[in-house]
Amino acid sequence: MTGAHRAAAGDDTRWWATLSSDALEDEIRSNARSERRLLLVVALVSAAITIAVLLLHEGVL
Amino acid sequence: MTGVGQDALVAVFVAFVGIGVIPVLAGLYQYLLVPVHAFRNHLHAAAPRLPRVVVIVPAWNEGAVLAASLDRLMGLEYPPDRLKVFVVDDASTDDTPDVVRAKAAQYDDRIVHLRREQGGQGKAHTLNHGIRYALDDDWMQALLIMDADVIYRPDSLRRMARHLADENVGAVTAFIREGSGRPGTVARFIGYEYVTAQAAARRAQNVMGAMACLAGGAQLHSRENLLAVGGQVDTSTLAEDTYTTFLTQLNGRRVVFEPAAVVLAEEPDTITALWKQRVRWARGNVQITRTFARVWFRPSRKHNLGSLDFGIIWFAIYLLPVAMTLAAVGLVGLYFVASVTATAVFEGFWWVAVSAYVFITATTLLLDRETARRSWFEGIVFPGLGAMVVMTAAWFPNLWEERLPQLLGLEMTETGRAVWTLTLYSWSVLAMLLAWVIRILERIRPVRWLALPLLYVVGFGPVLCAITLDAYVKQWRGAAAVWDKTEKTGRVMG
Repeated sequence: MTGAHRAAAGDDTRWWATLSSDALEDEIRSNARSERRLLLVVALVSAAITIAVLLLHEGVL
Repeated sequence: MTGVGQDALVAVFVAFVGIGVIPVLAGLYQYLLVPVHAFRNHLHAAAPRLPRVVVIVPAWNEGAVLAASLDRLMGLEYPPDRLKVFVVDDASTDDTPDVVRAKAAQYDDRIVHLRREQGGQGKAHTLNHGIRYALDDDWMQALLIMDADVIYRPDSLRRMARHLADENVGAVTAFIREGSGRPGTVARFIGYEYVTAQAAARRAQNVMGAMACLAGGAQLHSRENLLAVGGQVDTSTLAEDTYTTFLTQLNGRRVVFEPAAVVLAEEPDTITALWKQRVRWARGNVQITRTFARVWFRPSRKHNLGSLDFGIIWFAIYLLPVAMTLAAVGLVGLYFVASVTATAVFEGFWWVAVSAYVFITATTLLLDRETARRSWFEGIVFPGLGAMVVMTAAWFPNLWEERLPQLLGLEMTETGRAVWTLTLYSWSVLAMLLAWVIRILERIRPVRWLALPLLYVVGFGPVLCAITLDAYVKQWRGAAAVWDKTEKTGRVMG
């Protein structure tokens, strides 16, 4: 969830106000972006590490 | 032996090794699907939805862990008037009833104590007691099944619930992260394993559109789905979670994994406790495989459980001990009938294994950094230090037989070389046998300290293989299917 929809700091009694439809939609979009970013980075780095190991083994690097 | 006979024997042994490669390739395939989840996930169909949820907490002598769990549930970021908790007390003999009653008073009766006077029948019966009450009236729109000792992150329930906005979804599960306050070696291995089996594998299953299992401690069902699966969970197998997962999908509803919903759980920290827990799970999977025998490899328009890739992955895990044994038999057999072929096949087999190991380990450690911080070493040595020696032997021929001994001014004899080679070829079976030794060592006080170093040598993967093998044997013998509770201390971080 982005900052716009967080409850005010210390406002524990109204934390559920963050559960408006707007806030929940914002959270879904934010989570989708994070998921895309995380998995693309993970895939690229893992592939790079694997290729580097294979090339090292073949004596290319 | 004639030339034709020998060729046939060589072909059979090579085929055995080929069967051993299948689980490695299946694991790699599953991991290659993980990045696809960046674009093919269910978030596009999720929408704001906060159904009225009844949480069922099965509890048998959970006094030590229950108060913290209930406090966390009451602190969930979820509308208080849409959340009720039913604690189903399975005839506990400790202070569980007092803890629940105190919490019910503290939270204005949003916590309900349901007592079974005759308990001990297992989790499924306990859950069904609570489900019957939940279905008694129309208030409940969704039902969350959890374990008494897990801790839900405040945003986890609402992140699961948003997927129920899609009427095609019957159930949603979360990522159970190992969260012991002071994890020991076994718990750290489990932490890493849970990232592979959940954060990675369940993303891949989301992509395939077929889910193997809803996590027992985190499964949110729509009311419609619960009624469609018979208004109760299965009591005939040891894997009621998997049974419900399959029934949901066979009825044409999807099961979704939500990786952003995180639930912390304390897992066993001894091999003995792990063995007990996992034999139960593995025997449950044997029962599921038989019960749903008509599902496998039969594609359907209603569900994807019968798809080729899901079936291969299921059986690759289910038959892993058999595949590893066949690979070892194949390599040892080749050593005696065609040693040059044996060397080539050994190097080829482990070349594939090393490539898969590097990609899978890197992906797993990057996928969940909190677990990586705690369990990075256990992740690297997950296949075992022994297997890592085998990998280096396959990748750098003569490293262990010639180059390293030469550095020390030593030379390996012919007999030594033969023993060494046979050890390398049969390591996958030797590791499973050594897993039994770990279990025995752990029970003998004077040598108990040897169990953990040996666990690092053997690796966690082979231990799980050995447990699966033990489960097959117990199931085949028809050993009593008892539901043993895994002891917990209540020391979960977060």
